[in-house]
Amino acid sequence: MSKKELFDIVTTHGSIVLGIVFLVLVRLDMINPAMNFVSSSEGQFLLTIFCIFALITSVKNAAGIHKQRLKNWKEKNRKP
Amino acid sequence: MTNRKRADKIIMWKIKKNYGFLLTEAKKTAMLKTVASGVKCMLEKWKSLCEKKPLPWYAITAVDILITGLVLVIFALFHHVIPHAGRPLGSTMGTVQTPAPTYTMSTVQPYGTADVMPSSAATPAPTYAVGDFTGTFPNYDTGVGAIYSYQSDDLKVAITKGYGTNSAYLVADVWVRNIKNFGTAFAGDRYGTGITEWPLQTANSVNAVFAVTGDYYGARNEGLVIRNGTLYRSSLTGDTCVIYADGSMETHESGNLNLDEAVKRGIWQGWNFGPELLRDGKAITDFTSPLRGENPRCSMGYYEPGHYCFIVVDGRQEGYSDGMTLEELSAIYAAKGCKTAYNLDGGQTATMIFQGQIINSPCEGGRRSSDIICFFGGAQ
Repeated sequence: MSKKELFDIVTTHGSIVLGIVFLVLVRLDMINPAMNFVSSSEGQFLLTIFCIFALITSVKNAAGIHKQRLKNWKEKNRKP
Repeated sequence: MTNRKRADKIIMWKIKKNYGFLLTEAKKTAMLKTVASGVKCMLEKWKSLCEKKPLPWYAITAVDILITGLVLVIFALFHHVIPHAGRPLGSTMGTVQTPAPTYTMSTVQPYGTADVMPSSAATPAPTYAVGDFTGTFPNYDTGVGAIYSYQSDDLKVAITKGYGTNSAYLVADVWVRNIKNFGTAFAGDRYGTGITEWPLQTANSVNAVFAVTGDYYGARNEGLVIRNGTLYRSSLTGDTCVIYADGSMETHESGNLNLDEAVKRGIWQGWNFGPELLRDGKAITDFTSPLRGENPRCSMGYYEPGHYCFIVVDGRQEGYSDGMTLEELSAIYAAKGCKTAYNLDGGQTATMIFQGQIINSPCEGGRRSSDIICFFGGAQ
């Protein structure tokens, strides 16, 4: 496994894991807002990591979609 | 230096910085070794996993869920389990001198004054220092009809039992002669998040005559914390309650407190939990708090400087007491004639202590908390 592959796995699965973690924390915050689960410094730290992972994953995804569309368009418009 | 060694060094530095006060050298080394071997083991496992055929989708999902659980556990550990010591930020007494019991017996109105002193005698009305409530402190037994009573020259506590729709509760009527008799104490006598102790232990360690659990400030990193005239945390989030050096109590919604102005006036105690239970002395019927249902509760009310009321409601005990809604609690304070009232941390925390004994029935036996509100019998 290359470093790039490892990086992709970490960012995508990191996004999934942190997404679920934040769903849990938001629900806990609704039940007991006094505990400040999301707005605590630990919550903010996780949120920052989540944002970075989500940004990397979505930018890569967007780039992939764009590449695929470009490829499809080129294949469609290829002159015989 | 390899990356792993550098990571180990950073971890060790962080542990030393944040939790060094709790650990001995041997424990620190053992902790570092455990963390390092854990990281090494995980890296090796990961390497061997990567060389194998990719896992099926359900196994990947299971691994993700397991990692989610692990992240939540680590989050909880750092958020509210590992103790983290804090430091006071300064005094909140402003220009007010620390209230001292300046009264003498000659300034206290004795029993039967009229019999020995002609009513026309032009005795000037005694003046008292800020925080000295000798002028209003009752000279009669406030504990008539109470199930628990403490009557001294500096503190009078009378505790009665009441019953609500689905609940049983204790009401403590408290008079203090001096604001210094109205104290608070931290678990283990240390300020910080995650530091907890059984409320009875905290109360006994400071020789409190009467105590109730506070706002459990240690479970959060935010919210006002002022104890005995010292500011420990100044962030104003959520509803706050302050007791001024002159004995008056105010509640403020959503951090709506001008802390600088309040400090100039002199704050003796400040809590962050809520919600406030009375609005302009009237009961509130439209609470929006998610905790408004029937729950065990701990709360405090205010009649006048030096005269306070504490209600602890038992709950989550089928056949005895389910708990009380915020609306019902608010109505009780309004009926008692309190000017303001404030909800403190309830649930399993809600505990009332009188002369070294827990006198309510905390649900599931209660729990450790980070602070108490306590009252002292003698001149402080």
